Order: sequence, then C-alpha cells, then structure tokens
Amino acid sequence: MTRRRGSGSSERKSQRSIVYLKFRRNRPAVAGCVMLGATLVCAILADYVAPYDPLKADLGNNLAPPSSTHILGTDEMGRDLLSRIIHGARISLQLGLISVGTALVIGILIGAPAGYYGGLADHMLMGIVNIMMAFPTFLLAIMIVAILGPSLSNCMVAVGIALIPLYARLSRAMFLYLRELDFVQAARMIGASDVRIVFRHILPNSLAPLIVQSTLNIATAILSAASLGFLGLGAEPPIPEWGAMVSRGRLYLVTAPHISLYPGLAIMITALSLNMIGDGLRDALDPRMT
Amino acid sequence: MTIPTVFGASLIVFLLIRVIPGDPAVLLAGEDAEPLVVESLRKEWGLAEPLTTQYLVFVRNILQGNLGVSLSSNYPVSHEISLRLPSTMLLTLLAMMIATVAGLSIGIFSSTRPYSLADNFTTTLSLVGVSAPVFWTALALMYLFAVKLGWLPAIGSGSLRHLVLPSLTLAAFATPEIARQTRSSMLEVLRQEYIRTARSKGLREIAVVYRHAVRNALIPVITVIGFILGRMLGGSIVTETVFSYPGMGKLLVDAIFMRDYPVIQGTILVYSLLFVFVNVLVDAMYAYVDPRIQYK
Repeated sequence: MTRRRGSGSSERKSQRSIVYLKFRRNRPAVAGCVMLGATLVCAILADYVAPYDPLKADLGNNLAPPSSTHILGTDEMGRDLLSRIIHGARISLQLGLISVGTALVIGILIGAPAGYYGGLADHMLMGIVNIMMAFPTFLLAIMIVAILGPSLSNCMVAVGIALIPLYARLSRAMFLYLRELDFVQAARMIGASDVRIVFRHILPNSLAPLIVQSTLNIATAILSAASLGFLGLGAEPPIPEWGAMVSRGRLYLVTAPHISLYPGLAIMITALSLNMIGDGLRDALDPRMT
Repeated sequence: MTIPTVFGASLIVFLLIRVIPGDPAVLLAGEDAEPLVVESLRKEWGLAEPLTTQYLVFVRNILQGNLGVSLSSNYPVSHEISLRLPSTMLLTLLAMMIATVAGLSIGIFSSTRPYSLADNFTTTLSLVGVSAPVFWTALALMYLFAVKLGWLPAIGSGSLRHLVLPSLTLAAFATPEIARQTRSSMLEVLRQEYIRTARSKGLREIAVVYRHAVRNALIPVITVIGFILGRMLGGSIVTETVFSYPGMGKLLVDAIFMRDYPVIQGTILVYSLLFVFVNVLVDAMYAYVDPRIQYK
C-alpha cells in the first residue's frame, strides 16, 4: 500500500491507480456512484431541491395521485410525497453512515486487540462477540429498541450495535493474519513499537476489506433501519423516514398505492447503489480479478 | 461452542429487563399491577436476591418452561409462544425451501454461462433483490396478487392460501443472496484443474457441472444459508407484521408496543435458541456435503 510510484516510469502503476482503473471499468460500480451521488445531493441540499415543505399538510388535497403539481402525488395528509422522499434521503443516509461508522470503530477496538495479542484478550473479547452472535442481527436491533424505546436516534444506536460483531470478527481475522506476515515480523525485529506496528503496518493493510464491508453494510443498515421504521420502532411522525412512510401507505394500498411505492423505491435505489459500489470495490481490490 | 452461546443468549435475555430503568418486578407485572402481584413476582423470580441468584432462578424457571405471564393476555408466555412458534417455523422453512431451490438453480444456471445476456440479467436482478426492503416486496406482492388480481387473501392465516404471499415474500428476500453466492462459488470451482481434467477425459458437461462442480461449490453456499436463515428470522418478523400472520414475530412486535416484557423476553429467548439450533444443523450439513470434515 505504501509502495511509491517509480519516478518517471509509466510502466509501474501504483496499487491505488490499478484499483482506481479497475473500479472505473466496472460499469455497475460507476452507475452506483452516480446514483449515490444524486442521493447525497438530495440529502445535503434537501431544503433547496424539494419543491414543497415536507411537513406542510394540505388535507383538502390528500391521497392525490401523481400530477404536474405534485410529481409523485401527496400522502394521507396532503403532504408532497417527492419533498418528503428528498428529505428522507437525509435521514436514511445519516442512519446508515452513523450506525456503520460507530460499529466500525467499536468493532475494530474489539477485534484488533483480540487478533493482535491473542490469548486471554482474544478469549474475553470474542466471547462477548460470540454471545452477540447468538442473535440474528435484526433481532438484536429490535431487542435494543425494546430496551431503549422507539425513536430515530435509538434506531441508529440499535442498528449500529447490531453490526459490531461483524466488524469485530473481520478486524480480528485481519490482525491475526497480518501479524504473522514477514513485513510485520521485520518491523518488530528492528524494534518498532506495538503502536507503530498497529497503526503504520497492520491497520492500513486491513482497510481494504473493512471499506468493502462498510459500503455493503451501509446498505444493510439502511434496510434494517427502514424495517424498524416500518414496524413503528424508528422515527416518530411526522419525520419523513422512508420506512415509516411505506408503513403509513399500507392503509391506503387500494386507493393510493403510490404512497408506499415511491418511498420503497427510494430505499431500494439507495441500497442498490451502495451494493453496486461495494461489489465494484471488492472486485477492484481483489488482485486475482483482472 | 453451542453451550456457551446458549448460556450467553440466556444471559443477555436475563439482563434485558434489568438494564431498563425501573423496578424489574414492576416491569414484569405491568405498570398498574396490584402491589401484591408485584411482590409475588418479586418472590417468584428472586428479584430481591443478588444478581447471581437471580440468574440461577431465571434459568431454573426457564428449564421448567416458566417464562412468566403475558401482561396483555394473562396467559403464560410459554403457552402464547407454543401457539405461535409452529406458524413461524412453517413460514420460514417453506420460504427457505423455495429460496434454496430457486437460488441454487439460478446460481448454477448463470455460472455455467458467465457474462452472457442471461447471466447479466439474473445477476442484475439478484442485486436488485438483495437491495429491496422486505416490507416493500411484501406490499408489492400484496398489491399485485390480493388487490389487483384478487387471487390470494391479503392478510390473516388459517389456510394454505394465506401462506403463499408471506412465504413468497420471505423467499424473495433470501433467493438473490443464495443465487449470488452459488454463482460466485461455482465460478471459482469451475476454474479448478480437476474440472479441466473431468472435461478433457470426455465427460458430458452435465456430469461435470452436477457431479464434480456443484458438490464442491455447495460448501460456501451452506455457510451463506446458515447466515441467511438468521436474516430470514429477522425478515419473518417484518413479513408476519405486514400480513398479520400470527407468528412469533407479530407476537414480539405487538409486545414491544404494549411493553409486555415477559413476552418480549420469552420470544427473544426462543428466537435465539432457534437460531443457535439452526447453526448446529448447518454445521452438521457441512459434514454431510464435505466428507473431509469430521467432528470429534
């Protein structure tokens, strides 16, 4: 990873540029980036992009089908569906990024010492992780919401905690493997400290699989959070959370199916773009794939 | 491996009502319970004792099949669960069967003609399937088959017809992942030397694929199936809620809204036992598919 590009030679490409080129050639991955980019723009500029106020009810014009004034129609309270979906992007991406970020950091903090030191530390730390693995991920999230009570932030915490075991196991495996490699042994031989070995040699080399996993996990996290929202265990109304929006539309499935259709599509497109990027990254980082 | 996990799961469920702020006896008895009821529960579950004793009492009660009494129905939790568990198992097993057959077929089909139009189509469809939220698939199927076509009942249970949409939903949730894993592990195996040997000695392609490749490709697929069964248990909670299907998932979600802690505690415990049991089965399946694996 830290190998420098040979000066002046165009033959030898750096690891990074090879990965970049392979990623660029992967059409689904690039499409995923474009889709995710659009979602990000919606999330950041929601206040400017959305044609209406996402919370403003207009009871005289509720359940309106898609038309020229309301492109995706209105919901059961007459709120503009498109505006709510655009604002929902902000919530879903936040949910995904924060929960995965938290799980990543805590997971590495558990997995790294377990893999690096082994022995008792390994037994203790992975013992905790194995207990968490006794529950399916989504059930773990539901259980945490049941303890903390339903809300948007608790939903974030729940999904984040539920993802910790995955990262702990992955980073443990990476540390266990890299610890034994020659370049780490060499670093140890010349007297590098544990801190230096971990941060300078092992961590940078375990980043690739962690990044791939995180991209895919953000998709999973968004789907889990939306499921919690759908069950009514996530954001409270009137927050425009996609899962909760689909759930509200359930009651109007016969007369106004668009209320459930479009927020669901938004979730799917976001998860799809992340999955396409994740798959592309994995292939690009795999040296066996050309 | 199994026993510490079961122990750990019971410990977490035990801690569940003890980390919630408030008196555990009141949580188990309900907010507006008579003081006498609260006291008798405190005694039954040893809640005045130290935590270690409480845990032992908890385990003893569970082993005796005593999971407490539901606050909303006043029936024993074990009774409530015994009514709902078969429905959930039926739904999940049926969906798993559909998903395994469909996923394996799609995966083998596309791996034998990689990067063809058909492969690209199924691969894209699988990726879309992995990204679709399960509740949305459920509503889409419900809209199509119950609202528009009127072929199947939208909600409820009682007949085989009620089982079709929920199991299809859950199968649609799992099929793409099985297909993806089957495809990639088949592609891996088909690159191996012994496949080339099998081909060069003149075996028919069908024999090469099914007798030589599939069996070896199945091993990583089984890992994924174990993992997916866990996700399906999660997915079944959502599916049951959408279709008002009277399984454990619906029981759990309803209990969370009613703060019915004995039921929450009981269902989560049974789910985790089910999950651990499934993983044991998956391990046994390994040994069956891969004769190199021997258990001492």
